[in-house]
Amino acid sequence: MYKNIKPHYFSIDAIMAAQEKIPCRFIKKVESIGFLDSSIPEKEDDESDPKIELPFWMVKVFLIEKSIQFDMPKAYNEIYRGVLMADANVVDLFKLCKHFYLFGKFLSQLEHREAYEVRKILIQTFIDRFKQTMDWAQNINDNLPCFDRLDCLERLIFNDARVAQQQLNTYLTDGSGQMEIAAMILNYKKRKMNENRILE
Amino acid sequence: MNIYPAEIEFMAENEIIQIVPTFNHASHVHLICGSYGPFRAGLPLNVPIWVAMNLRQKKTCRILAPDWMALDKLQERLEEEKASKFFTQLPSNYYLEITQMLLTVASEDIPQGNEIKTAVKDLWDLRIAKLRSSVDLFIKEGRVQASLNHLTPMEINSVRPVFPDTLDALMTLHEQINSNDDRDDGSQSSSATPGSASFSLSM
Repeated sequence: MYKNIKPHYFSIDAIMAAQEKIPCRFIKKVESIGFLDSSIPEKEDDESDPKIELPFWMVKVFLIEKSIQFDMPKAYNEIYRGVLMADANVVDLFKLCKHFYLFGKFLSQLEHREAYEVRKILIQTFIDRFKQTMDWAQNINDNLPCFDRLDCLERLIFNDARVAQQQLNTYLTDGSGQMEIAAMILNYKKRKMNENRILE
Repeated sequence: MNIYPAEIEFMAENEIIQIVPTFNHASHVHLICGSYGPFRAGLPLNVPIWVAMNLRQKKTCRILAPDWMALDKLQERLEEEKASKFFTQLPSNYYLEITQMLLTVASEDIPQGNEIKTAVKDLWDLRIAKLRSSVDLFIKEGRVQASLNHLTPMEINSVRPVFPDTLDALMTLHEQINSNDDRDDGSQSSSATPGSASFSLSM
């Protein structure tokens, strides 16, 4: 419980989310960085087709120098925002973007004219989907088909809810069962017996 | 950390219940939770549930069902719960656990055991449904304060794993709106965020 919903420096989820690609175009000439990624064409020669996809962390660096412009990725563009606004429950978020909320949060921190809309849609989507997530976690036994549609953040919550629900169900059907002796006490008893034997 | 249902049952075991012993024991029994006794065959006395269950399993006593554990009383509660929009105060904070424990150990001592079990389960289902819809409403409307009275520990525990994390996630999403969006119209930033949300669940 109280999972790290807030990403920290070493959060794998945050690192993965920062790897998501963003479509962007260079507005300035940037030299000698082509070696970083073979899929990036050499900027020096390639003025004609400047539209490429770069991971978020790289875009962030270029944005500081104001040498790049980016568009909102597919999951956050106007069309998908409309879909999410209409009914967030039917969207397969995991397919759309594995780290929908985290990546969306990163994106909305960048300077972009749609950033505010993205922020709003993140919150709205989360709220709209919450009841469904909770219902699935607490009611459906065979959870796989719906679990696939949850984003990573929702999965965290889903898993927690599920484990607790299963404990409760087990309790309701089977009762609490026998208490077990803590391992520490068992070991202690063994040690005592051993000591007594040595003394004798 | 989550609390296991079994741990809540453990807390419930300290509730007091009446038994009729079938043996004599003149002096008091001194326990951490209090002193109980003397035990006289045929005379009812109060003991914690765990003592009662232990004695019952050795067949040295008969358990008297608590007052509320009668079919008509439970039906009454059920009706009251149905009629009320809020949670009603129940006679015991551990109604589910106590019913479960007593019916497992001493089902012969309790008249209409099966019906009681169903009635208690109905009551539980009704209250859980209410709790879930309040939680959902709370999240959906982005409220900042709510208070639910007369919840039992087991019921609170059923939302415990979901609720704080959900609020946490929402708060994280909200955070930047307030910090980065000074340029926006005041309508958004003036609305309170769930970051300051308080949801008090009390028994």
